[in-house]
Amino acid sequence: MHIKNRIVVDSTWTISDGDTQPLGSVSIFIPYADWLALDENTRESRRDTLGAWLSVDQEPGDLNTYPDHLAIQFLSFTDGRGYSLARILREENNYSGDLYAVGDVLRDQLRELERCGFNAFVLRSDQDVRASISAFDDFDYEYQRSVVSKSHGANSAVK
Amino acid sequence: MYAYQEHDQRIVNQRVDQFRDQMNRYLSGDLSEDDFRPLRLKNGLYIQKHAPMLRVAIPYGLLSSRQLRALASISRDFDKGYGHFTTRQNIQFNWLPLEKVPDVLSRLAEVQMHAVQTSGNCIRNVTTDELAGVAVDEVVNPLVWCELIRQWSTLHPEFGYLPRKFKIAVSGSSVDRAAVKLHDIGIIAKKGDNDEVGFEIFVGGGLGRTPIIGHSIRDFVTSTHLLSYLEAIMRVYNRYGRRDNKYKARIKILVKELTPSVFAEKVEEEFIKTRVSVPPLNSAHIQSIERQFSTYQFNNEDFVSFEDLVHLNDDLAYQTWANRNVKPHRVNGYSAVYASLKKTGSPPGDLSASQMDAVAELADRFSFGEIRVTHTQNLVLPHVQNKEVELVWRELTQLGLSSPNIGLVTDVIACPGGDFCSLANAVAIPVAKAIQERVDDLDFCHDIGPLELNISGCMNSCGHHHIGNIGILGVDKHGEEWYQVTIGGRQGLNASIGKVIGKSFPRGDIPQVVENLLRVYVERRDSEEERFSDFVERVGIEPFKERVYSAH
Repeated sequence: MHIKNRIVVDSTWTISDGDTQPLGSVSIFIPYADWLALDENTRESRRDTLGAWLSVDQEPGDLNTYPDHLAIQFLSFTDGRGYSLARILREENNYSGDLYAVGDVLRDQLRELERCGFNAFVLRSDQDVRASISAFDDFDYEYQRSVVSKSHGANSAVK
Repeated sequence: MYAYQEHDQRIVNQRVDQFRDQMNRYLSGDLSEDDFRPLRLKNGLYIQKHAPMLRVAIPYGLLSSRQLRALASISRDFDKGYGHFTTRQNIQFNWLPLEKVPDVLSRLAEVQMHAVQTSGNCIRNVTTDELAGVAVDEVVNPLVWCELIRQWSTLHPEFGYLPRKFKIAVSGSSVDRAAVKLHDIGIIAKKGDNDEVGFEIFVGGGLGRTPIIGHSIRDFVTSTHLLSYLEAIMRVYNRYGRRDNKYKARIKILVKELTPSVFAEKVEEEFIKTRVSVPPLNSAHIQSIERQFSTYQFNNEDFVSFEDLVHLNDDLAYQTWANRNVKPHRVNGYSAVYASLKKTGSPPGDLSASQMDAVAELADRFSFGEIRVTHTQNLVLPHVQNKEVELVWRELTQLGLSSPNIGLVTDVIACPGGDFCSLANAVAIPVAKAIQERVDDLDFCHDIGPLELNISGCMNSCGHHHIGNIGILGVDKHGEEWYQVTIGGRQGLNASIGKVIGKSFPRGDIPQVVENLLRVYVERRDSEEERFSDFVERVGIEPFKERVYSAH
């Protein structure tokens, strides 16, 4: 189960350290370098179930080819580097595919993650995914322009 | 005062709801202690030695009489009837029942207050000059810029999980009363060509274990790009600040490891991008914030000049106080009057609920309902008509708030220390009291002149001991409380870090040590104009060492 565009989806994704074989119906993210090393036919034929993941310390300047499904892996929810990386991917690299937050991802971070450009979330296994949806609506005003305020037209001090 | 717009109120209300839900999930066991900790810290809630502590934001130290009354009623209804003002212009309640904290936040929200980002690894409450908008030497009023920074940093989605806490201070005067060089980011507002407002930016200052004076990385950021420049600094820090070691995670370590010039280059590279991604501050937006600040009808009836107000009463006690605790106002005929929270024997920065109510009343009668909190843990009635200063003195005297010691050695700055804080190695408040009692002789105190004495109960340096002219730091020696002494620290544009004079002392020796230090200074200074730390800079620490350790 995961969240995509604020909707709970039954299927899910998992992080792999290199194994490219899907586990039943579970789609997988492989390390970005491994994904890049695949030939174009493989990437194309498995584009819906095979994505790539980045660690939070990835240098975004080195990226120019992207899968349809890109993930940033949070080893700890208190490591905020993934928030900056997501914004840079969206605002500077103009990445427009799906961006997943995966790993130590908790309900109480969903809103900020979305505002930084994530649109999909694979929550930590102990989280109540359905109950988490309300976290997106904790606030209806924001002082800063964010990635979301451009696409969702949310209220903002500075549009 | 800044009056909330409708959306400001909505954010604060929704933050209360969000926190109440987080607290409920914690109390019901749905949220673990580890998952809850960063969430509660971001809302100023610590689990302390005796009870939880809630730190309430007083943005840039500006407080209304209505807000002060609300703080009084909260301390009465939920705490033990007092509050503690901090060196970052905030107020702390030390005895709140955990489950009542959401109710306290609701009460705060009713008077446009909150505890957002008063702790945790995020951008903290922005601080400024306590005489902002009042000081005679002011070049740019920092208040509107502080509010813009407050809004930009409030619930900023990208910077909620920084490597470590992050503090910003703004000054707009030729004299720095906000200690800007000792903050993660220090900002000096100034005027460029054609009176254009711009900002000099310092980074990497701070106290703690590794005290460092901040470096100037840009001489002039235009007001249009203030926030985009700050965002560039934050992004560099968020991405590259160390996360492997809590003691090396502040921005000062990153700046030091990269060198200030390389850090500045990285910021400039990022700034090229944030200039586009962060909307520029246009004048309409700035004015819309400016309009929310109160303006006052100053009155010129029965004009008394600043020079003459000292003669409103022949009582020497009044005159001593007026010379020390009253500062000039940019509006002729008005003054800023300090209420000292440093009466000998009472914990520095503490104020009881009834004193809070009484100060609120004074603010209504004499200062347009406005109060300031200083980073030296005192209060200011910022707009008092000179002819009424003597009356205010009588009232403050009744309240025990007229100790004539603003800026003197007995105006001790101290953290709550080991009596309250679970981080502390040693107590701070009883040490402050013992020092005050030792040097309480008014003539001696005034003879010494302006002098800052700071006490921290541990290396976290909440009492800012590094920049005290005399600094006292609690250390743990085999489970006993000992104190290390530094001299020569200084705030302001000429800021410096104090030097340790030698091995530490047991608690009972501290008053005598302080007296010895003061005697060396008074006996050997050039003149009364030579300040303590200038004297230390000139003669070094040897004469002090000699006196202190030979007497030992």
